[in-house]
Amino acid sequence: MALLVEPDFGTPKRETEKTVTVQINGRTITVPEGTSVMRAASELGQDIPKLCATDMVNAWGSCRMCLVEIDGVRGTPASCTTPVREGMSVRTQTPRLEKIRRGVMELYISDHPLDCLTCAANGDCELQDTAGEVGLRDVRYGFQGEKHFAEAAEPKDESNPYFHFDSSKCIVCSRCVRACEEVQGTFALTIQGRGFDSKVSAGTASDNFFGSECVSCGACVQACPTATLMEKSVYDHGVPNRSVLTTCAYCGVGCSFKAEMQGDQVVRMVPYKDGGANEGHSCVKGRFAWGYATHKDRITTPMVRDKITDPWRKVSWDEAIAFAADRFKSIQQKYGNGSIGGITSSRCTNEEVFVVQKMIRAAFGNNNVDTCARVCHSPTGYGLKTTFGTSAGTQNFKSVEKADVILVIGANPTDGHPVFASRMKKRLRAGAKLIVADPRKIDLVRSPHVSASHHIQLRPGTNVALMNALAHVVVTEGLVDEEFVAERCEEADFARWRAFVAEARNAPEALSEKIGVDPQTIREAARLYATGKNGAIYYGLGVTEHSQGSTMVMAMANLAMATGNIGREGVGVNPLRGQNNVQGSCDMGSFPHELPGYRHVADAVARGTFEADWDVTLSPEPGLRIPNMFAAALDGSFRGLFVQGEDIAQSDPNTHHVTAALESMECIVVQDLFLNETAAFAQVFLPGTSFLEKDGTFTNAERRINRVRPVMTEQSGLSEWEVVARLSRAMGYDMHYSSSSEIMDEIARLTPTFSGVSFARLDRDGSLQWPVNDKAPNGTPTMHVAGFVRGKGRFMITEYVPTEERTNRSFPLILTTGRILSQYNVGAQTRRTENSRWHETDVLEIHPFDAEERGIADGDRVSIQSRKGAVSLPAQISERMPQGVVYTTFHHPVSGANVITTEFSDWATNCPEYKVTAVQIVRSNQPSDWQVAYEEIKRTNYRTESEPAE
Amino acid sequence: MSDDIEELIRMANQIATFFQAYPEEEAVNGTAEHIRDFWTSAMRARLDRYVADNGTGLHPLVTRAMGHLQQAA
Repeated sequence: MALLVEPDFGTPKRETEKTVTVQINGRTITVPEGTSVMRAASELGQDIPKLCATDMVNAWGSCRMCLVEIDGVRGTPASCTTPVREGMSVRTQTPRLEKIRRGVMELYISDHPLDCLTCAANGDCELQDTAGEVGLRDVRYGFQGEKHFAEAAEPKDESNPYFHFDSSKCIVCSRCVRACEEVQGTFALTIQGRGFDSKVSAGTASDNFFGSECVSCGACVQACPTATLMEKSVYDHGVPNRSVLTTCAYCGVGCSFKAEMQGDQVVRMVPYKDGGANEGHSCVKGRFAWGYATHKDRITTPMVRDKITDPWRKVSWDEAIAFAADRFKSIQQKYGNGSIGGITSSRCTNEEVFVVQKMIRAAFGNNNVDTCARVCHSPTGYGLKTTFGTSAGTQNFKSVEKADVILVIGANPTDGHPVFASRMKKRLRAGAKLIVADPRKIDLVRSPHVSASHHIQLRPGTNVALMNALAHVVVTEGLVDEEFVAERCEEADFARWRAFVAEARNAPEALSEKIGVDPQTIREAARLYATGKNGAIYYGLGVTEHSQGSTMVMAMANLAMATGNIGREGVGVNPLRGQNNVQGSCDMGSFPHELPGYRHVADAVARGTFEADWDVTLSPEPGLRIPNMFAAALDGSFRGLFVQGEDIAQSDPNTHHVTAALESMECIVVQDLFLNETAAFAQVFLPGTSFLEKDGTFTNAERRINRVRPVMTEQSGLSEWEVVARLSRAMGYDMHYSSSSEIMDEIARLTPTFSGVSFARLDRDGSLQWPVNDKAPNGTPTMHVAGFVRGKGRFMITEYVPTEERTNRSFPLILTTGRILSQYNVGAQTRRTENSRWHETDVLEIHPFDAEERGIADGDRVSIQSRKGAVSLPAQISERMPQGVVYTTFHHPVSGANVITTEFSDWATNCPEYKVTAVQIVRSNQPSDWQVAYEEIKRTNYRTESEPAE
Repeated sequence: MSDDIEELIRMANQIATFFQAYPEEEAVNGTAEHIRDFWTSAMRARLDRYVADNGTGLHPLVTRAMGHLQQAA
């Protein structure tokens, strides 16, 4: 499509049932009460000139450009700050207004560099446009203002890798400052100085943007009406001339973006205002960190090799696919049907995931399919399905705007889900209360204009004890929503649960020592959540990645049901999914026991539907989970693996165990963008496609199905689903599709919750939240409104069971892992962007006392030793850590964070217990043995045959 | 004892530990259903053999659950 320029109504939309009818230039319009005159006029198609107003932030009323005349009102009020009143009659264009606007514009231009033809914003400058609108023809004050021409101007701040700040272009409209405050919620920018000396500043006078509190979300750049804050890519390439609407491929928020292009060149990614998940906001990853898609490390030619120490040999697609199929078939002949399997990726589209699981079930002839959700949110699926009846979060993101008490448990949204965190912080600034349960003092605990009412700084591994203690208070202090429970929940299960949590052993006083938090804090938090009207729970991997991950999800569901916090806006139990398509990959039947739509493989009716459609007999037996695959590889019964877009060698726990399993296999096929860590153990590499090349859908954490549209052709020449279909055919199962749309039609045909979904429907409606079917033709923003999917909600008994991973004198500290704003997961994408400047290496965060006790100074290299292995990292002394707990990220493979983590896992799903590993920290001046061996593997297992000389 | 059976014992015992909060028959059924629904037949067979051998170290609910599954087969 041509460049999509979204309308800017000048001020935000008001959401109220009450309406007001006004006349503007003789035409009548009815708008919600509180709407500005500016917006009402814009909705009528009669835009008023403006500079300091934009609909992403509240009105400011400083530029004096948007003046109007109103019958019965003296003077010329600013239309942006004037709300409509019933019966108001407004004129937006009169000789008097023209004269005033032109005069104001003269003042602006008198102190603005007039380098329009060479300016990066030429063709995309609101100042330029407005000067044209007001008919500016002369500037009576001359052109000698301080900011004129480069020689007089301050040097540009080019410290940020993605945008520059040129104060000479600034008209001090404060849009950037307000965007940072109101949209992002970081408050990094301010206006420094007075009068003509006023200028935008990223903190103190000595700060530049890179060194400031700025999180590079891009909101200020988006808000800027001139070239003051401008993407460097626009500076380099010029303004874009076409747009493609698509979806970000980073976290589970699933932001909608306009890929703004020149030909096949992405010039910039701009968040889409109509995107249901992000409503026009973005973070540093989605907005700027897309350069990996064209990084020199991309592998775009298929490659094979006989042994993992051989150099890779570039081959044709046909040869690569035949090589993989021959090896897989040979393994099956030798070791049996169940000796191969595959892993799907949450970074791939629903359509790509669907065909991989179909290939495994239909062409491989077994259910040995698992997904990377195994290691993140599989307990969410189990816990929410058991209690509510469906494996998904209950709300849309917008719901947070109605929450009164927000309980954040085991999640760090400002780093992991930044765009949602901004929405949450906006609600918190408006008065909602916050409870944070996290061992670390995460940013949400205290950040500008946000302060948690309670920070429950619990010991890692005691989540369930905490939830039982909270529930104890609810039950014993008469805070149960008896009416809700009686009407909506299973009576016997509730009675049993009530008796269980009421036991004295579950009282905060009894559990406080285990949890490490004083009982009064727990009691007050429970009262706040239960009595604060709308209570909403948001959680992340700090909940799921424990040996009691599933128990904890059920415990949260129990608490929400007991307090009636389910089934309407502003409440719910909401998983914050790690990757862009975790929800979708689970929906698409990626688990070894479930067909698409979460139907068990033993369900003969469901299986029969697939068998009829696919013309094949399917196995009724659950297949291997990822950890079972590793165990089976080591016992010799599992010999071949297809890995779609996942880096199990880096992301899965107990690296020694994982790599031993991978080394023992006969054929590993990796389908990816890069030669990742897993590829070191592979015999076949099939080039994948970046999100900029994909055609399909992602489903985000709020069950929102969004279109992913290609902005450029596949660099490898084939879509991923076509490669899988070819491999499937080579394996003997005839899989054919003419487009990814056809795959979605098959998904809709076979999956009741997707029955109303099609590409045509998504193209028309933008996005849809499943279930989308006859009962909910327009989708389901809020789940369980009239009743639970399973009928009645089921309370589950959630006995606290301490993890088997224990500290002792040899391993006295607990290591917990997580991620940081600028990097994403294993870093395969973000490490290949300028984002690495914010996080060039993983570090070990350690409490000052623990550091001092070990003689560790900030920046010292330390060895982290667990029962499983050791690595060394630089130490960072941090007050965010509680004593006894250390923390690191796993974004850089050489860090080897998972060399240390254990094989302990969730009882129900085998989700690894990444969050609790007993370790010792000592000073060190060298890499660990594993890190030395890793560097050797980099030398031996990644070689590519040199091209023959021409 | 080999690594693979140790891992299966640990997993089975974890499942039983969750369900032991329920009355015994429910706990046996819960454990059995979980193993039936989520484990491969090879894993179940391996644990069956271990139960038949001696079953040392298994939670009593696991032993009963495996018996349940055998009867149902």
